[in-house]
Amino acid sequence: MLSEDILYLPVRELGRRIRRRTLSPVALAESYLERSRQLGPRLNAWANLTPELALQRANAAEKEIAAGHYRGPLHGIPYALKDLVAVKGYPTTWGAPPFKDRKFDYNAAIVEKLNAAGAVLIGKAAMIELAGGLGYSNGSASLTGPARNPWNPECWTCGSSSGSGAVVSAGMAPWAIGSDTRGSIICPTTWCGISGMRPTWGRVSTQGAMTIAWSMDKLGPMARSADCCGLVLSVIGNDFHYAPSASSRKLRIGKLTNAWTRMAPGLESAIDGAVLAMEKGGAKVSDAAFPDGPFEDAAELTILMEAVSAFENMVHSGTCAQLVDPLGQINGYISEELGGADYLRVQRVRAILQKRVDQLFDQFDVLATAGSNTAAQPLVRGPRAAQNRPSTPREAEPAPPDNSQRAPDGVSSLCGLPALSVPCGFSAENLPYGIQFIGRAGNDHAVIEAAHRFQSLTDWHKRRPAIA
Amino acid sequence: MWAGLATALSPSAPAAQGRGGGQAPLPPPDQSEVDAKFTDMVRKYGERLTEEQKTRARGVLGRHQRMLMRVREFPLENGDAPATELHLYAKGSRG
Repeated sequence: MLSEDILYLPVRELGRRIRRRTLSPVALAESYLERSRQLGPRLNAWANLTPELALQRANAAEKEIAAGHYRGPLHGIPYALKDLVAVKGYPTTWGAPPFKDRKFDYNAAIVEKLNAAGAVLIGKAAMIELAGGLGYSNGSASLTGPARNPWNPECWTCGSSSGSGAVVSAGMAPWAIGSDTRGSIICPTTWCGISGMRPTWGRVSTQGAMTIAWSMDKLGPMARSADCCGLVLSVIGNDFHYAPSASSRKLRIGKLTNAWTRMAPGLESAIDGAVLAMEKGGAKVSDAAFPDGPFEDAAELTILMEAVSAFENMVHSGTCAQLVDPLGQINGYISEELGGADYLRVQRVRAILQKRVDQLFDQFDVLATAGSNTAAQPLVRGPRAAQNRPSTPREAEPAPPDNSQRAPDGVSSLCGLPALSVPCGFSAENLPYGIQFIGRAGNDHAVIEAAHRFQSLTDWHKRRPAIA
Repeated sequence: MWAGLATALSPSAPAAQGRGGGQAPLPPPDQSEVDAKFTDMVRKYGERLTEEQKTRARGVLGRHQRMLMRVREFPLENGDAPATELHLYAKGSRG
């Protein structure tokens, strides 16, 4: 097996070595698969590995590159795919017991793009059932049990891209695809100490991926660095090409003052330190505030109403009763009581809120705030653990709630804004903190550039957990 | 407290949680709306639900109502269009 130092290399460096033929795609895939077999079960990180497919594609890449046909920066590079994206002929479980044996006879659009780029799928990453689409109470709500955090397996990874976070953080793949309807890339990215991006809504095709809410679902990369995210988004994104900026243009950063009503001790100073580093690096930093408005309520109601339509077959047939989580078992019945007139009212309010938020970006290139208001939370014993999943001795506890209408996941997801979270420090318990950069809708470049500049000034993203 | 995480795609999603304790009762019209929705839900799906699930469902309906109340308070004018839009379709287009 290749050394951990190689397995933790960023995508750009892996690609460089593969192109120069100093690194074999086959050896790389075999090593990630072997590490996944060793560590994956300890972390509940994978839904399924796809070793035959991986080695077939890695061999093909090796031959093509040897023959002088290099497809680009993902050619021959392994990755993990959240198990809500269809891969022809392989299980796609959506993390939910009713679909544990289900296979599709087509590839999702994103898989076709990655195949064309020569990327090597090594497995489907575990996830919260239905990505939380019918609700969930805790991190045990998954066909594969609670994903455990590589920084401390007694802690959760966050969800719903829980497996994708664990896989990348533990060096079982250099990057992964996650999905984000309201925070499901940003939170596990933050808790797992990696770099992950929620692109602008619509930037990446969701065709062939499970739907929760058509107007809010996004697919995006989770990786070692912002630069890695940019490389991956260049392949999977529509009308997007990323190249690291050589510009010395002064980045205008708005430090959000009202995004969270409370924050874990130590996190605030980590964010202050991160912003100060950016300022010393040449950015112009000033305070910014999200405007007033029922952002969280509008986001939540939009998801509830679109999800109950997306999952209507499960609700009407009663197969939702087979879900792991007790809330997921009944939430569809409840959401059906929300009416069409309310859906339209929410969407009318949403259009106004979008304009209010967009005005912020006349002053700022990006907004900056914590990726989550805590570090990873512990898996706790409790009476609900047995209630939820008798075979699982522990349950994961969600983060302390934040009561603000302006929590950044709600605002930016409601408005379809891109965001990228990167590590910016550690708690006293050696758990990662993250800072997220949020950009104007369509300006995915800005969040990548901001995060990339931050990572050129710091090395938080180079730390790795002592999991092996 | 965490059980109210209705559609929590990440666990820090706040709207549906954390507001359960110490709240004022719903105004009568809103409580009536919750009661009507609960009755309708039980009419449609009651045979599938335990008493414990029904109790939980009533609580979630109450939280939904508080969200609706805040959205309904937001002023709108006749011409304020929704964020959803029609995508025109013609054969051969990408729509």
